[in-house]
Amino acid sequence: MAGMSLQELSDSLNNLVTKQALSKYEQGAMNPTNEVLIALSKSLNVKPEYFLKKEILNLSNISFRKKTTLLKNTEESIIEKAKDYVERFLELESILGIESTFVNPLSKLVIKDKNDTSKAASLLRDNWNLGNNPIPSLIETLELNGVKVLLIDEVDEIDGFSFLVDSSIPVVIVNTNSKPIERIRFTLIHELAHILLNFDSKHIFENKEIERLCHHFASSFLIPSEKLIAMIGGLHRSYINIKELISIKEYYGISIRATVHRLLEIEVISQTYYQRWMIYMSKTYGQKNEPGKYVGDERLRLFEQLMNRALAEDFISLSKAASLMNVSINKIRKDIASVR
Amino acid sequence: MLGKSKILINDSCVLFDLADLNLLNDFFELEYSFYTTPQVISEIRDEVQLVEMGKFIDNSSLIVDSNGDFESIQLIYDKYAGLSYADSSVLELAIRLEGILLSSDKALRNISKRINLDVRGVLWVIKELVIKRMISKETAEMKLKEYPEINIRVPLNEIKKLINDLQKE
Repeated sequence: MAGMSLQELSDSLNNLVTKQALSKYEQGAMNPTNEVLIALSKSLNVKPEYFLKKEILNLSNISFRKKTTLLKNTEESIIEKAKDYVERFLELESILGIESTFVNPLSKLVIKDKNDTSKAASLLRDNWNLGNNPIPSLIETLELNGVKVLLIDEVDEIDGFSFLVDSSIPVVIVNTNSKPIERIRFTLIHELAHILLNFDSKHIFENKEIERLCHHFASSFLIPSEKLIAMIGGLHRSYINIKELISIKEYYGISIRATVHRLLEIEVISQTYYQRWMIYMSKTYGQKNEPGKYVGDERLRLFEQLMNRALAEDFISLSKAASLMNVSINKIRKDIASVR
Repeated sequence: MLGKSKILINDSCVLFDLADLNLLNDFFELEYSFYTTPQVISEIRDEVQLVEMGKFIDNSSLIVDSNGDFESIQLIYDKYAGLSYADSSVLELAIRLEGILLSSDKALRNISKRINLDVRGVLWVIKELVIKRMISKETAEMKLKEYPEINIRVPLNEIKKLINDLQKE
């Protein structure tokens, strides 16, 4: 959880527990004492309930968007944090009697190329009744359609990742770490693509190809082609003013670089013009920055909403709420209000 | 039991409420034996609150009972999905010592009543302090009016009723 080895954890507990005992707790071969449990939770900065879980989640289709420099123990620690969040989320839903179900609307569409990812993006928009307009809150859209979302603030080497829980519940995790909101939005949908798209099993896709198709899906989902063509004013353009791209960015919440790449893919601009744009962007704004500001609101809401419901109905105690939210009980006590 | 008749088992919410109402000193002067669990103390993260609670632990006004058996606490925890590990430890202690559970948390109070535990809250404490003449009726009324500002989940009707009762006496 904290990226520590058992020896490091034992050392951090001032030899209250040996590495061997920790190993037995981990394997479920021995129970810790209450004193050890409290010390462990403090050392790992988790609630004691973390060690009392009843079910172990079965993760599949784990897909990481990361740099090769990401350390293995950091990766494992991030996955553990995501698992812990999903477990708490599912526990809260269970307390409220909510059954977490998700049916993948794209499961029957076999993906072979970019035409298929375009179709998939359109199909998902249709299935979720989103029309062709900008999506003001992607997180809310995903959460209300049964996708579990988690925002993390981690090392820069990771953009996001996704996995399936018990082969059915999609989970998307995005690293916010000072990233612009358009990048967070793009990563959300890119990661979603990894778990929803049904890649043709007869074809062996290279990782790069899968990444390109997921990028294409994200871009097509964020702004449907017909809308992009309408906004850019034609099927072919020789020159484009940056203000046109800023306008698209500020309306649809998609970065200028992603839009220019998409214009190349749908053949509105040529390869040469695309390269000129990339050079211009790098020279003028650097590798990551760009002009324009999308004013959007991407926040996790559902977990807190469910928590407030559970507290208002007295289904859970304040201490339980603090444990599920992994915050101090005093914070919950001050924050939560319900009319009595 | 230091010659004191009854045992009060405190959850963290009640300790926070009494601390915010500046009634902790008076509370621990009541003729009861006060107990809590290490799980409850571990929920207190604020340094100032920890120091304040530490004073009562150091002078033995508040006994931190760590004799709760892990399996018994886990049994309670597994049975009541709406309770935390700390809540479960408090229930285990109240059952084991046959004490009165003192809690200002509705969910914990509801479950305690269901299993026939004697459970009281902050309003009962204030009433006790008045009955034992440790605070005046005026102070009690002031604290009762202050209480909803400190804990936004308190039952307003019960507070009004207690204020009326105090004024009539």
